[in-house]
Amino acid sequence: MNRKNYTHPNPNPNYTSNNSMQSLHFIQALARINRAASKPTTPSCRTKQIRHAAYSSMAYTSGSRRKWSRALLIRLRQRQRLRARRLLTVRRRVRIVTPAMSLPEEPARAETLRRLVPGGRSMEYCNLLEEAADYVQCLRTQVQLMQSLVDAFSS
Amino acid sequence: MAPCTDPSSPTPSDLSILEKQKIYLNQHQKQYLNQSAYNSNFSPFLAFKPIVDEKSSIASGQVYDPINSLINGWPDFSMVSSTSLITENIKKRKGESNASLKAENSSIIEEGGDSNKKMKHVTCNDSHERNANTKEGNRKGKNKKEITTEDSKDNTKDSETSTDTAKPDYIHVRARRGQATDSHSLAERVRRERISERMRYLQELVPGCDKVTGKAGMLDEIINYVQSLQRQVEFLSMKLAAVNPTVDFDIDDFINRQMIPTNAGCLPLSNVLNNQLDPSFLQFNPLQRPAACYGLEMPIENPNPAFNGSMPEQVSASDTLGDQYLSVNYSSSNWDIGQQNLYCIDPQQARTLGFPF
Repeated sequence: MNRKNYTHPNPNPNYTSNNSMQSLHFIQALARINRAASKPTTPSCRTKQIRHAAYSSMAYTSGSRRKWSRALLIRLRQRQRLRARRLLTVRRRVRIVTPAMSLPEEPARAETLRRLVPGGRSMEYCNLLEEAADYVQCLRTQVQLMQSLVDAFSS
Repeated sequence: MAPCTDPSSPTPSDLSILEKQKIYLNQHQKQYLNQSAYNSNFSPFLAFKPIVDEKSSIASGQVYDPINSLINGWPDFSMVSSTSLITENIKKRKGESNASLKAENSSIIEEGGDSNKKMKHVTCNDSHERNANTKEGNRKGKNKKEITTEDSKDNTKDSETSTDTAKPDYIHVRARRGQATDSHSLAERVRRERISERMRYLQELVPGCDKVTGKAGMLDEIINYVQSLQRQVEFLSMKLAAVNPTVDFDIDDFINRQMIPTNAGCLPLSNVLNNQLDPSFLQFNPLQRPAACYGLEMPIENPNPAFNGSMPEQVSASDTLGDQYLSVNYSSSNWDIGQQNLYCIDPQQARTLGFPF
């Protein structure tokens, strides 16, 4: 990432984020999935697993400083736990999300962005933009990495 | 921040005036401190806000009267002792005031929160200031005139640069003439400035966002880009899931081959592909998407139910085009065609966009 070419530097840069670390985490997760898949699994299940690995490796690499990564990891873990417990009890967890105080100049489209960025519901608008920038960067790195992996595997 | 017991609690406008005066005094000799010199130097300057300036002039008047400063227990500010002490004090207090809203060029700025503190300051140290007022009353006019000066910038340039290098991470608030100066509106201005800064950064991050004017359009672009990236992650994970077992590739072996030769931890695979791929072309253009669907001749009305349970946040955001796209991805046989249609990889064209990756 060559950040020197920016005319507007990142106002709050994420120093822990690293392309190579992200790829390392993701490839390790893929290897774990591959190793665990001794029994034949359906493609949709594998897809879910790989996507899970993609998002969690992304969040893990970004570190705990970013709110979106924390929210993403918490959500994934809760989902896993719920999936494991689904057979026993069907219980709906009450979600406690303190909505961000909407200020008058906040555009209406910000609500959509809140839904897209993990943990964005409880963020203030300024923080939301910051987290969205970081999230976009990490997602883009992840997409590049996965694309390169797909190309390497298919070739 | 400004305790009543400390009579020297600074405000930014005070400080700038203090610094200006300090430099002015360093430049000239002490005998130039008479009123005629000030009048000749600061005659073209206009008064900006007389009430606050009066107080600042009182404070600065206290500072530069050595006798009065000794009386009031301000040994640090006495000109007789040393000037280095003064600079230390000023820098320290400037740092304290930087924690809250900080005025960049305080000579033009009135800060609301600090003006309140100024009021407190005045009430607490009333006797001191009355004392100073009688002694230094003739300097009031000079300090008033300093407020909107341009020449005083030159005097304070070196001191301001030194403080800027020391504390580069405060936010400048500049209240222009006619703007509100109470603390709420100043905080609001800071917030708006931060938002626009983040917006500018996001604008550079998201391709195609520079052409869009207006915050709503930029937000739309950002939302589209995030959605497209999330869809791409789903698509690529699907692809990886289908490719992996068929290829029967040992990922550990792959890691060993790819990661170990580069001890710096840099993955050459991603580097190679970063040169070839450009994320601006990975972005799904809404115009290109239907064309890709038609090129593949895939059934469009085939939503994928597998994702609805697992990742509701991504799927909830996906519109009809997204469903089309998922339906395209659902058949694993035609991926290469879809890839060629969707990702027109052109490195030279990618470089013209100047994308950071």
